[in-house]
Amino acid sequence: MTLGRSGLGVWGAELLPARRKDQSRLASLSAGEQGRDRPLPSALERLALRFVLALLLSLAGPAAAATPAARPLPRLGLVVDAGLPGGAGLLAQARLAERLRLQAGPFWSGVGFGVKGGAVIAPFRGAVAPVVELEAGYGFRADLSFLAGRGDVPEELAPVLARARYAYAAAYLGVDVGSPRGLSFFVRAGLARLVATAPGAARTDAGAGTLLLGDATLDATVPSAKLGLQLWF
Amino acid sequence: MRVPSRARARARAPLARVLHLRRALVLPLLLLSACGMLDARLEARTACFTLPEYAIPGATGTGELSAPLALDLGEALPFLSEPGVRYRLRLRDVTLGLESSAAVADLGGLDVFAVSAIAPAGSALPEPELVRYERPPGADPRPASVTAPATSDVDLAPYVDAGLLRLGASARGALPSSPWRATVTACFLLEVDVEYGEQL
Repeated sequence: MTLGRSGLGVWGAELLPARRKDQSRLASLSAGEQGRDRPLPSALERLALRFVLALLLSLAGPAAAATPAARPLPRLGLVVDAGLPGGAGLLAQARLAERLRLQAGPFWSGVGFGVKGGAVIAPFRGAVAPVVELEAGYGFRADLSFLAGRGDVPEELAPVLARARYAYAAAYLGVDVGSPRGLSFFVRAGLARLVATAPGAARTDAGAGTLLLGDATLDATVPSAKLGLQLWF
Repeated sequence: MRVPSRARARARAPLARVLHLRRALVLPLLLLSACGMLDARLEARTACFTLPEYAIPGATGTGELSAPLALDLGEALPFLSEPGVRYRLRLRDVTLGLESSAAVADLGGLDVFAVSAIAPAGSALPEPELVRYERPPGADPRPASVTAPATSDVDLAPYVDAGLLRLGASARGALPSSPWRATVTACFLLEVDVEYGEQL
C-alpha cells in the first residue's frame, strides 16, 4: 500500500484543529460530545502532531520508493551548514546510494579555515528523515590568541595560540526536514573527539623564575551540533 | 501606573525561555558528563621552569653539596588548583648551566648531580630520586652546562603543596667550597584532565 500525501491530509485534518472554519465540526467528530469543553491544543501540541504526521510520511517513503514508478533521487547537491566543532561550511554532496551520501568541502571555524567531509546514512526517505552522520575535519590554522589573557591563560602565550590547528571526528544523530529531491533543512547533534595542537612555546613569569610553556596538545570529547540547508540538483 | 499581570508575564517570558533553554542545554551535558563521555586532556610537552642565578651553597670537605629547589606552580599555572582539574607532573630532566660571567668557570669538576622529590610537611610520601647525571668517561672536560635525565616516572602532583613543588638537588665532585650561582632549568611533562561535571 502506498500512503500518499492526500491520504495523510485527511488524517491531518482530524488531528490538527487549527484555523479552519469547520474546526468545531471536526473537533466534535473526533472528540465527541464530551470533548466539546476540552481546550484547543496548544501550539506545541500542534507542532508535535505535525511532527508525528511527517514522521509517518517519512516512514511511508521506502514503500513509495519501492514502486516501479518511483523516480531516482538526485545524485548531486550542495550543503551549507554551521555548528561546532565543524564551523560554517559549504560542501558538495553526492548520493552514492539510496541511503548513503558523502559530502566534503571547506569550512570557516571563526578562528581559521579548514576542510571537512563526512558520510550521511539516511535509512528512510521522507519529508522528515532521521539520519546518522559521521564527519571528520581538519583546521589548518586556528587563531586562538583571543584566549590569551583570559581566565588563567597567560598573555605571553598569544603567539603560540595564534598558530594552533585542530582535527576532529564527530558522530551525529539528527533529522532532515524537507524534500529529498530539492531543498531541505537539517539539524543534528552528537559527540566529537577533538585534538588541537599548538606548536611552539612562550615564556611567562613563575615566582622567582620563568616558565617556558608550549608544544601543547588538547584532546577532548565535546558535544557536537550543527544545522544547515541542503539543495539537490 | 500598574502594569497588568498578563503584560508582566509576557515581558518575563523571553527571560524564562532563555533560562529554560539554558537548563535544557546543561542537563544533557551533565548527563553525558556523568556517563564519562565528556572529558578533556591537555598535555604540555614543554613546561620548563628556569631559576636564573640560583644560589648554590659551597661544597663540604668531601666535595658534596645539597640545595633545595622551590618551583612556584601556583603562580604560573593557577588553573591546576581549580575544581574538576586533575593533573600529572613528571620531571623530564634538569639542566644546570653557568652564565658566562659566573664565578665558576665550568662544570668540569661535577661528577654526580641528582634531584629528588621532597614530600610536603606531614606527608608520608616517599622521596624518590627523579633525575641523575653522572659524568661519562670522555665527556667534555669543561662543560658550561650539564643535563640530568629522568630516572623515574613518579607523578609529582601529590608533592605540590599550596602551589609550590619542593625538590632537593645534590651534587658531588671537585666543587667550589664557597657559594656560587647557576641557572637551574627543570623540564616537566604536564598532563591536565578536566572533568566537565565539576566545571558546569
